[in-house]
Amino acid sequence: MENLLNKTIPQIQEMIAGGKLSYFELMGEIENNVKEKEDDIKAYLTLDLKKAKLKAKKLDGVGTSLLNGIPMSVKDTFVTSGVKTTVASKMLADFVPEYDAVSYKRLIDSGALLVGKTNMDEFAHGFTTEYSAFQVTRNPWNLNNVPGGSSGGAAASIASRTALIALASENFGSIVQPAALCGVVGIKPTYGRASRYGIIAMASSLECPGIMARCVEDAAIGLEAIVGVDPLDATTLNVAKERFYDQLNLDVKGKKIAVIKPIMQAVSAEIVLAIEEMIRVYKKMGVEVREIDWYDLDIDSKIYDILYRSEVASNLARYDGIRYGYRTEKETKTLDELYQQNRDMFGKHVKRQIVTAPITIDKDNPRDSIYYQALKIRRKNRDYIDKLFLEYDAIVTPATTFGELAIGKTADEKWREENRNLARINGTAMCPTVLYGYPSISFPIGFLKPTAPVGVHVFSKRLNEQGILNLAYAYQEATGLKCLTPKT
Amino acid sequence: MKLTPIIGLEVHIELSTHNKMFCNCLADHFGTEPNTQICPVCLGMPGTLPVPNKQALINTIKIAKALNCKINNEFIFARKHYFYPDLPKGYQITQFQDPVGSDGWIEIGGKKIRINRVHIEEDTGKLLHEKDESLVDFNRAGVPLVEIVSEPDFHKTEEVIAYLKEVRLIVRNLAVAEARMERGQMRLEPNISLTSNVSKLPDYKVEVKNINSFRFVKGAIKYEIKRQTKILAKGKTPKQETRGYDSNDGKTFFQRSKETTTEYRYFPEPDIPPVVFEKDEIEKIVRAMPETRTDKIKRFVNDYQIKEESVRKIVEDKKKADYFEAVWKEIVDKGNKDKKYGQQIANFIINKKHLIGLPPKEFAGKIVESMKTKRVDENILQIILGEVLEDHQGLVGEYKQGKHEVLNFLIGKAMSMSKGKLNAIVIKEGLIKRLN
Ligand SMILES: [Zn+2]
Repeated sequence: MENLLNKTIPQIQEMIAGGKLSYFELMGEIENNVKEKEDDIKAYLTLDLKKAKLKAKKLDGVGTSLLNGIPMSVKDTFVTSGVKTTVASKMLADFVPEYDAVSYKRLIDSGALLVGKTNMDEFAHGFTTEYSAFQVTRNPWNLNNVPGGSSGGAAASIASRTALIALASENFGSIVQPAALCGVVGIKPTYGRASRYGIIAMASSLECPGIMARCVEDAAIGLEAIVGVDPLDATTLNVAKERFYDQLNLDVKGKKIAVIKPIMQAVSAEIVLAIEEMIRVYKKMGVEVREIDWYDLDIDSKIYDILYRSEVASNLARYDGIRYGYRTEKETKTLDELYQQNRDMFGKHVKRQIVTAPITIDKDNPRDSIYYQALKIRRKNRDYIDKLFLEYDAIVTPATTFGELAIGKTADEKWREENRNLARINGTAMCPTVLYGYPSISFPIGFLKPTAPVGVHVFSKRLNEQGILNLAYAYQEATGLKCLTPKT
Repeated sequence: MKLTPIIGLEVHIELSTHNKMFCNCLADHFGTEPNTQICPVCLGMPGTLPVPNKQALINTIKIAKALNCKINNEFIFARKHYFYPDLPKGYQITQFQDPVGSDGWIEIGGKKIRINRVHIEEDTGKLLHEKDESLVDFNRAGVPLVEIVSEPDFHKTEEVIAYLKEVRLIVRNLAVAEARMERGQMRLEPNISLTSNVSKLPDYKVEVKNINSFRFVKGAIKYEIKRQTKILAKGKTPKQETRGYDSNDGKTFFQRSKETTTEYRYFPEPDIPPVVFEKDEIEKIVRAMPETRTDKIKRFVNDYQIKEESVRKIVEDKKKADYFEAVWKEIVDKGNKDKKYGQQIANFIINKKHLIGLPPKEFAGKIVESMKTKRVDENILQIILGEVLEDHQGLVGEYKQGKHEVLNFLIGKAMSMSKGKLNAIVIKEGLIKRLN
C-alpha cells in the first residue's frame, strides 16, 4: 500500500467513504511503518498505537471532519491527559498529566487519533533534537543527519509516514527548519490565533502551536482545527474561524513577494540556487518578486535573546519536585537541599540557560531596564515590517541556513565557529514571526541532493494564513513537490 | 532626645470573589478539606496559563477608588520570584509597575494618611506542619489578594488602629471583602522606625510580617518601639530587617536581614497581555460603587447645609446616616424646603439619641414642630428673653464670669413665662446667643 500514504487526507477520506479503505486499515499501515522505520529514526518518545488502533476500529463510515480517524503525532511539549508528557526532560520523565493542551484537544475533538508523542530538544531548547534527554532522532532522508529541531521528532514522523499530521510548536524556527530538513510542510498561525494552553516550554509566551504535514492541503486541514479563541489563554484573539482547506486557491497572479537580500547574500550558494529556482516558478505564475533591504541584521536576535532569556529561569522555577516531576529519593535536611537535588535533573543545556539568566529588569529603574529597551525597539521593528506588508503579500527567507547537518556536528567547536555568522542570519530570518506574531509556512522547494530536501520560509501580515497557504499550494501544484518520500 | 515612631502599613485583604484570580476554582477556601479546590492552573502544572479574573480587577478598582487613588487604565501583571513549597509556580503573579491604583489617601481623625499604591495579586497555599512532615494545602493558592501600601505617615498606634478599622470598613462597605481577621482574610505588616527629626525619614526600617489581629499589631509596634529605643539610646542604629511577632510573649523576633533578602527578579508576566479598562468603563464601575465616607461627608455638608463636625458624627454610623436621610425625605416630602432643617435634624440625631427609635415620619414631625415654634415665636422669644434677662441681671453677670449653670435657671424662667409655647432648645439657643 505504498501509494496510500502518498495521498492527501481528503483523498484518503474519499477512499474510506467509497469503502475502499477503513480507518483500521489506515492505522494498520501506520503501524507497519512504525515497525519498519521507528527503530532507526526514533521519532517517538511514547507510542500509543494500541489505543489508536482500538479507536480506529470503532470508527464506522466517515465522520463530518476531514481529520476523522487520521493518525496524528504530537510533540512531547503538549500535555496529553493519560499519556506521558516528558518535554524530553528527565525532570518530567514519568509525568502523566490529567489535563489536555487545548490544540491537542481540538485535534482529538476533530477526530484525529494519537499515534504517539514525538521527540524534541529538552524543553524545546535546541535546533537539532540532539538535546533530548532520551534519544537522538534521525533524519528519514539520511540517517546520519539530524532532522532539525526543536520539533525534530514531529518532522521525522511525517517524513517517515508514521503519522499523517503532526502537532508541533514554533519558536525561532522550531517548525520551519525541521520541516525543511525533512521535506515536509510546516505552518504556524498568527500569534494568538491558536491556544498556547498546555504547551510546556522554556519561554512559553514565545511558543506558538503549529502543524506539520506531507502537503499543503493536510496542513490547512490541521491548522483549521487548532485555531480559535480560547478562554484558557488570555493572549488568544477573538477572530472568526476560517475554512483554510476549502479556500485553498491556486490563483496567486499579481501577488507581490519580497526576498530579504542581505540574508540571501549570506547563505550558501546551493540554497540561493534553490530559492532562485523557486522565484522563477513564481514569476511564471505571475507573482511579482522583489529583493528588499533589511534593518540591522542582529537586532531582532538580540531582542529575542533578552525576552527569551528573561522568561526561561522564571518558567522553569515551578519544577521543584514538590507537586510533580522528579523527586529525589535521598533524605534531605533542608528545603534548599531538596530543591538542589530535585532540580539537578535538568539537562546541562537547560541548566546553563537557568544559571546564566540575565537580570533584565533593574528594580530601581524599571523603565530604563534593558527589558523595556528591547520592548521599545521591538515596537519600532514591528512597525517597519507592518509597513512592508502594506506593499507585499509575503516575505521570503531560506528555511535553513545550512543544507544538511550530520548528527554530532554541532558539538564540534570548529563547526560552531564557522557557522556563527549563519546562526546570526538564521536569527534575522526566524525572529520576526516570533517577535511580531506573523503567520509563517515552510515548504519544500527542491533538493540539494536526493537525500537532502530544501525548503523555503514564507511569512505574511498577521491573520493572513490563507495567503501564505495559497502561495505554498500554488507552488506545490506547479512543481509536484508534494508528499515527498525518502528513499531509505 | 525625643524619638517619634514612623510607621507604615502593608495590608493584604482577600477578595470575596466567586473564583480564584487566574483560574475557575472557588475562592472561598475557609474550612475546606485540603486540596479540594485546586486545578492545573493554580497548582502551577506545566503548560498551564493564567487568565485574570475581571471581577477581582473591578473590585480592586473600587477599593483603590475608595482610597482616593489615581486609577491606571492599563494594568500590568508581573512575576515575583522566590522558592517556597506553598508557591506553586516558583513565582507569584502580582503587580509591580502600573498597579491598579496609586497616590491615594484617607483621613483618620482629621489627619491625612497617604496611600502609596493598591494592587492585586494571588495568594499562596498554606503549609501544614505535622510531626515528621510538612504538607501543603493549595486551596488558598491563587485566591485574589489586594495589597494596600500606605506611606509611613503614622506616629501613634492609635492612628494605625483607626486606619485599619477604616480600611476594613471601606472594603466591607464596598462588599468586596469580608476582611475577617480570624480567618486570615486581612493580614497586616507594619514597618516601624524611630526618628528624632520628624521631617526626615530614618535610614532604616523594621518590617513585621503577617500579623492577623489589631491587638497583635498594637503589641508588635509597642515592642518594636521599646526595642529600637534601647538600641538608639546606645547610640546605635537598629538593623533593617524583617521580623515576626510571637503573640505568646508579645515580642517580635528576627526572621531575615536586608542582606539576605531575595532578589525577586520582577518581570512583566508574558502570559497575560496588559488589561485595559477604558475610561468610561472605569467611570461605570465608580458610579455603581456605594458612596465613600469622604464623599458622603462632602454631600451632607453641601446638600443638607450641616456643619462638617456634625456630619462626621452622623456619617460614622451608616444607620444614623440612613436615618438622617429618611427623616430629611419625610420633611422635604411635606414640602418643607428650608435648608435649616438639615442642621436641626443633625442636632436632634446627635443630642436626642432616644428619639432615633421612632419611625422617620414621627421624628420628622418633631423636627418640623420644633422649627415651627422657633419661627412663629421668634418675636415672642425675643420679648420673653429680654424680660428674663432684665429681671435677673445679677445672674447674667454671674454667667458672664463663667458660672454657666445659671443658664438652666434662666431657661426655666423663660419657659414658664412662655407658658409652654417655646421649647427648651429654642430658649437655650436664644439665651446663649444673647449672653455672648
Ligand atoms: Zn484552580
